[in-house]
Amino acid sequence: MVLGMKIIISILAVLVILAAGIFTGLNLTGQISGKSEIIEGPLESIPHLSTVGFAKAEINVEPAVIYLTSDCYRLAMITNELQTYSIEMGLNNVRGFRPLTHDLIYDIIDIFGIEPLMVKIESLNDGTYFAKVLLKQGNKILNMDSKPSDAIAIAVRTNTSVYIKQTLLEENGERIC
Amino acid sequence: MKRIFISFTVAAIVLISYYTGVFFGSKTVYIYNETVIKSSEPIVFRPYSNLTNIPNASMAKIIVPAVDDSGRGIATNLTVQVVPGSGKALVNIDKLLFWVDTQNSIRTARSVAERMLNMNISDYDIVFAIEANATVIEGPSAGAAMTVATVAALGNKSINRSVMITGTIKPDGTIGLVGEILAKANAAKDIGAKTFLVPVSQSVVTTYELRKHCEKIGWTEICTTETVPRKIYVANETGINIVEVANIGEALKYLINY
Repeated sequence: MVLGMKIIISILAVLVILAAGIFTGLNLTGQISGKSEIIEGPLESIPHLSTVGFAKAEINVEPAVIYLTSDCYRLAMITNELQTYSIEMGLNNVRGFRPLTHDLIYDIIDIFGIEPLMVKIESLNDGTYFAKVLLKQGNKILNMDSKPSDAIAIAVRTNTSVYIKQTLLEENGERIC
Repeated sequence: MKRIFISFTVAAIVLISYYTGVFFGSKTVYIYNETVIKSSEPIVFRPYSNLTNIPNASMAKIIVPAVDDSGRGIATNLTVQVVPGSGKALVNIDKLLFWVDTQNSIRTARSVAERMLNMNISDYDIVFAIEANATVIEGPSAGAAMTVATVAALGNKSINRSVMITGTIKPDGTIGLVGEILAKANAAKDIGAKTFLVPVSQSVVTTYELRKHCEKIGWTEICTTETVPRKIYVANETGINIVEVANIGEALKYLINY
């Protein structure tokens, strides 16, 4: 009888430890627990967020031209006047009578608590520049394909840094100092 | 010794159960999503009425595959008549409106045809009419067909009904790019064409797909989107013979019954 009780208590103890362990494991991943608290690892370990080989760019516009300036290089990107108008509105923190598409995107980002991480202009293919907008919400990061002009229009509204690949800047930009 | 053994066993159970939870909780999800984005040029053919019979006229008819408002391929009948007159290019506007780009195509078609045949057409009027289920004719992509029909009408030749063409016409007789090639090729096949002539480089259509891929790095899930080009061979996709033609001279070899 005593032996039987001991066995039952031992099995129960093992099951309790097992359940506690599984529950803890699930909880820490933030996947199944349903709780809002999410424990995150350091973002530095994520290669998508690395800015090694990239230069932080300052943005200026003229009608249909976006200028990215960093150190002694200035790169001009040709776009259309609607895009540069939107970027200029964002740079000046001005909204029009009715919201532009990029204003709507900003509102979504702002209201839903999405954190813009950065914009990266990564490549040039057949005369077209390719950019990524990196957004974060909770433990999810969206590394989103974008036209540079759209990415920049979002970046200037959300005070997000714009990075351009150093080699793109040097090979396609103009040396200004 | 016994206590050490029990401690190790409990620790092992805790670790195993913890990582079991982590494993099931952190299952990596790969998502592949596609959205086809078609490149397009607005080109819509809309209706009209039957051509008035004009005596002493030389006439050519050609079927032009086009695309309607909903993106479906439709057949439009283009008729070109040459009648005694004073060198005018006339358009039958009964029940329909020709946009300026179509009018320009007509003007260019007439000029190219005149030069190709090396004939003076100042004593003839050319009457263009399009029959289609629409109210407005817009888009320049029937330019090549108009030119072929004009050459046929002026030269009193008939047009091979098993061959159809799409393409704009340029003043030097070259055939320019158009949109919605796939829909037009399907329309051409549906209305009985065996061969469809397209501008140079348009036997292959590039569409763009959105691809999304998610991965897990540490505790963070990263989803990356990319826009990836995909080449579609129009002949394989539609089952019709596709031939690229650079200019009207090449197109006439396929379209005119000599």
